[in-house]
Parts: sequence; C-alpha cells; structure tokens
Amino acid sequence: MSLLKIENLKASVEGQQILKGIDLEVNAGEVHAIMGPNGSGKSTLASVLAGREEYEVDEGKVLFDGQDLLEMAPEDRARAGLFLAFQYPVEIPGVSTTNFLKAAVNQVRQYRGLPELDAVEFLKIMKEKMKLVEIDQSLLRRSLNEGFSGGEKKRNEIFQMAMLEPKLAILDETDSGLDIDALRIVAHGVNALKSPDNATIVITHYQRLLDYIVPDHVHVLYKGKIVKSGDKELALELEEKGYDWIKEEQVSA
Amino acid sequence: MEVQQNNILEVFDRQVPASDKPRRELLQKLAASGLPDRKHEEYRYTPVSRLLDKEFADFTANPATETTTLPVAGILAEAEQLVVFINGEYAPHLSRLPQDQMIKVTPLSSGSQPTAWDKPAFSDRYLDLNRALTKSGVQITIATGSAPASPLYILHLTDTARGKVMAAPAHYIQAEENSQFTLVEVFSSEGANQGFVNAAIHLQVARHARLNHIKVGLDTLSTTRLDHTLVQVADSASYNTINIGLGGRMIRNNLYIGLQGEHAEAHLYGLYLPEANGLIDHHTAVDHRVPHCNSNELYKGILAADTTGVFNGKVFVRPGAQKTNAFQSNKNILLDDSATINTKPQLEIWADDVKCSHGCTTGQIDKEQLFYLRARGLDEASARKLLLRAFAEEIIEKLAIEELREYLEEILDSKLPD
Repeated sequence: MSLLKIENLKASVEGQQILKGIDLEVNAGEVHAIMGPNGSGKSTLASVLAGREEYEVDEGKVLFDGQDLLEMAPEDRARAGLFLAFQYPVEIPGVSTTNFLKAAVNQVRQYRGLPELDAVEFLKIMKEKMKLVEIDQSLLRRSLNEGFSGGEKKRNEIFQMAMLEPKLAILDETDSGLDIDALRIVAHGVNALKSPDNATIVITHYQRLLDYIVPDHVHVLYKGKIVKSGDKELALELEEKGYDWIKEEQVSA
Repeated sequence: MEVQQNNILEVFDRQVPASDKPRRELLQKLAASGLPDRKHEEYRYTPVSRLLDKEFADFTANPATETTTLPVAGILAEAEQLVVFINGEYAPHLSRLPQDQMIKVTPLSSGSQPTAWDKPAFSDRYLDLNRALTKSGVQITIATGSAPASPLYILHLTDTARGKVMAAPAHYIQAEENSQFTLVEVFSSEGANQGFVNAAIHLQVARHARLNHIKVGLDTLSTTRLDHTLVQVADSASYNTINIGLGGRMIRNNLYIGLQGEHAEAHLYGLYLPEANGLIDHHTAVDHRVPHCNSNELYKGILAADTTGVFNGKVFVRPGAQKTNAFQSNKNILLDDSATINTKPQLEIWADDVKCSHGCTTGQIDKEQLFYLRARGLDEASARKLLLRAFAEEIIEKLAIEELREYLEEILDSKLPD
C-alpha cells in the first residue's frame, strides 16, 4: 500500500529552487535510502515533508496516507504519523524530553482517537522504549539536548520516534556525528520499530548506516532530482566509486 | 491637577505638619528640584509623575482599615509570620507577628527612622518623597546567629474601593551577624480607583549573615508603584533577591545593593510580565565598594501586546575594588510588534583586576524550537506556552519556598498568552 507519494515536487528556500521535480513512492513495510552529495537537496526534502515554514513549495503534490500532506500544519503531519529525526536536534533550555513528550504523545493520541495516557501509563511505556535505545531516564529529565553528546541527541530522537509510533519515519543524516557504538544502538532501535505497517526513509551521505539499516530501495539525489534508483547494491557502488561518476553521467546525459 | 515642581509644597502641605522641620525641609528641596519626568534620564521611559495628581494627596482618612479578608490567600493563608500594611498603614488585626525571640518586629510610627542607620550611596527624588511623606513602616531585626525556619511575609495591600489612595511605607530590616532569614514582600491591589504607592525598604545584612528577599508584584492596572530597595551587605554576607512582577499600570523598581565588606555577595533575579497597557521597570545598581566581592544578576522579561519593559543595570566597581566578579544578563522575549523593551547595561569600572561581563538579548520565540515541538505533534499554542514557561522557569525555579513557587507558576500559566 502506498504510504507516501511524491509527484514532481519543486521547492525553494530564500528564492532559490533546491528541489527540482522529485518523484518518489514509499509503500508500507519498506525502507528507502536517499543518498547524494552535499547540497543535493536531501535535507530540504526532509524539511519540506515535515512542514518547515521557510521552505516554499513551488509545484507538485505529496500524498501521505491518502491525505494532502502539503496542506497540513507540522503538528498535524506528526499526528497523522510522520516523524522527522532531526539532523541537528535543537537545544531547548528549561524543557525536558519527559516534559514535552507527554503532552505531545497525548495530543497525537487524541488525533488518532485513542484515550489519553495518565502519568503511570506514560511512564510504563517510556521505560519500555528507553531500553530500545539504551537511554537513561536522567537524560530525559534534563533540558532537551543541552550538553548532550552527539550520540545522546540521536538516541533521544529515536526514543521519541518509538514513543510517537509513526507510520513514516524520516531519518535525516542520523548517522552524522555518531561513533560506531552509537550508530549500532540507533540502528538497532530503528530496526526494532520496523513493521509491515510502517516505512522508513533514511537520508545519508555515507553507506555506513545502511550496513545496519538495510534498505529495500536506494535513490540518488543530485541537484534537486532523483537521478538514479536501485537496490542496496547501489549504495555499495556509491561507497566504492564516490559520487563523481553520477555527476559525470549527468553531464554526459 | 498634575503634581509639578511649582505645586509640590501646596499638594503635600497637609501631609507634613509644619512642626516636622526635617521633613518640611525635604519637601522644600523637592519643590526646588521638582520630581523627575521624561526629561530626566533615569525616568525617561517611566514617567511616573504623570500619574501622580493632587487628588492622591487629598485623602485624609485611611479608607481601608476595616478590610478583614486577606488577598492572595494562595500565598498568605498559611503564612506563619505576616505583617500587613493596607494603604501604607500597619494593620495589626490582620498581622501575625513572630512568636519567638529570633525575630523582633516593631511597627514604626510617623516617619521615625531607626537611629544609626547608614545612608547608602544612592539618591532618588521619589525616595526623598517617601522620606518626606512616610507615615508608617516596620522595623525587623533578626537576632545574631539565628536562622528562623519559616519566612516572614510583608503584605502591601492597596485598597482603592473608596477612593484614590497614596501610600508611602518605609521599612527597616536588620539581619544581624551570622543570621539567616527569608523575607517575602507581596504587593497586591484591589478596587477600581487609582492607587499610588511609593514604598521604601532599607536592609542591612551584617557579617556572615544571609538574607533572601523575595518580591512578588500582583498589582492591578489601577496601581502605579515605586519600590525603593536599598541594601548594604557587610563582609562575607550575602543578599539574594528574586523579583517576580506580574502586573500593575506603571511599576518602577529601584534596587541599590552596596557591597560594603570583602567577600560580600549578591544574587539578583527578576522576572517581569506586564499586563496589557502596563509597564514594569527595573533600575538596579550593584555597587562593588571593596575588593573580593561577587555579584550575579539575571533579569528576564516576557512582553506581550501593548506592554512595556524597562531594564537599566548599573554595576559600579569602585577604585581599589580588585578581584571583583560581576555578571549581569538581561533577556527579553517580545511577543508582539506593540511590545516595547528599553534595556541598558551600564558598567562603570575603576579597578583593573576584575571580571565583569554583561549581556542582553531581545528576541522572539525561537522558530527552530517552535518547529521542533510542532514536529512532535504539539499544537502551536501549547508549544509557545511551553517555551515561555521554560524561559520563565530559570527564574521561578530559584524560589525555594515550594508553596509560593507553585502558586506563582499557576498565575504565570494563566497570564501567558495562548
């Protein structure tokens, strides 16, 4: 079943067009990897899908679970089941993960027609999900991301993903700034959350993460367009040859 | 009739008897100099004099001594030690004076000032006006070496139900050597008529003593209030103050802290959230007079539509006050184009071996933070409120009295715009 359908998506930031006609279809149960050199538009795509206001959609259509995604407020996208794991999770002094996540989870549940969780139920679920990414409760009580290590930030992102149970998770360069142990923990968390009903888009510059989160489809984004798609072998080929051959192919084509 | 230079004597004539020579002289001096208005740098943004008219001085009877119910019951109902002033007059029937010997509370009658009280290096003409007009106040002494377990509250209630009110209380607080004490001042107002409060509190913190001084401003839009706080801190003593201001038409805080003895310390925190059409002004001065003293200051403002904030932070490091550490920060969030903040750090340093810093930020709610929370499913209003609460929390969390903190958190939640 098609969970996400992007058709001819063009988007700009500060008057400059970054996405120049993206087509992509993601079905439930699939893992897609989007790779590409720096500046190709990978993070822009993630931002547009999550609803970041600085990005202007010039053209195109995005259907998410049958709804017109581009018409929805960021919070409604989240409630409908879209999750973005931020490349640079923001610091919020004075707000702890526990603090905002309980309100967020309950607003999401309300949207989905589920009863609100009380403090005890919330804590119980939290404890289960904490194990998944080996995160400590004391971290969740601290000001969000303030003084967190790179690994702690990304584990906290995946923890929130586990709590919000999205249909589609977009991991934006989740591997950046991670050592190999943190990478393994994060990947383990993502894999454990995989089900036939949900899907994952992994945005990455390097193939490394894809050793742990194995994609069904790999797409190469270059200059705002998907220029090549394939299976996981394509990621290995990129790792070996770099992005130059893609650029050359584009020039000669 | 607005009070102006040429009519000060006439306006306050009946308030100060001719027999009281020192105070008549003060009035005459004020008549010669006038009260500061917009033309005076210190009162440029806070033209209090505009709101002071002759009618305030005309009242003769204290119209509210029959008040029998305490306002702000959420804070005061459980207060073990409470001194109540209504319209500047001591109200014994509502007060609960301390039972033990550690705290001595003496109500002061007409303008009497404890003897041997040093005059701090601070002058202000409204403070002079307070000296000239004050009719009552309280002297509180915390005995040497004592540490009373519960705080003492002073309630200043302005009740204007029966007419305009002017109040000018003056208090004297002495924390003797090695004592530890928490004083909470609550300012509250009731009634539709205008109130004009010009209050002063003088504090001395003796060697090795520790005084915590909390101020809570719950004034309504009918109240204009000046609050002069003059503190002298002796060696190895510490003075910590938290000022939470949540209302009022025009509120002017003058805080002067003289660090008089080596290793004296001062911590100053403030949170201001004026109501629409209201103004809250903090003029603070930390005076490092001797070496080896520390001061740390953080004031934060949340300014919604049609509100004004004023912050002026002076730090003086006197000649020879080496090894001074002085930090100052003022942070503001403006929620609307119609909100205003005037902020000015003012450091005057005459010593060379010191660490001083100041910083000031004014901005809107951080867009990245807002987007992050919305991307997690929180609606925009909840996300904004959460961020504003977090901004305020840095000050609120300093309140060590749990009931007071919780009470103020509730009020704050109700005042934060959706």
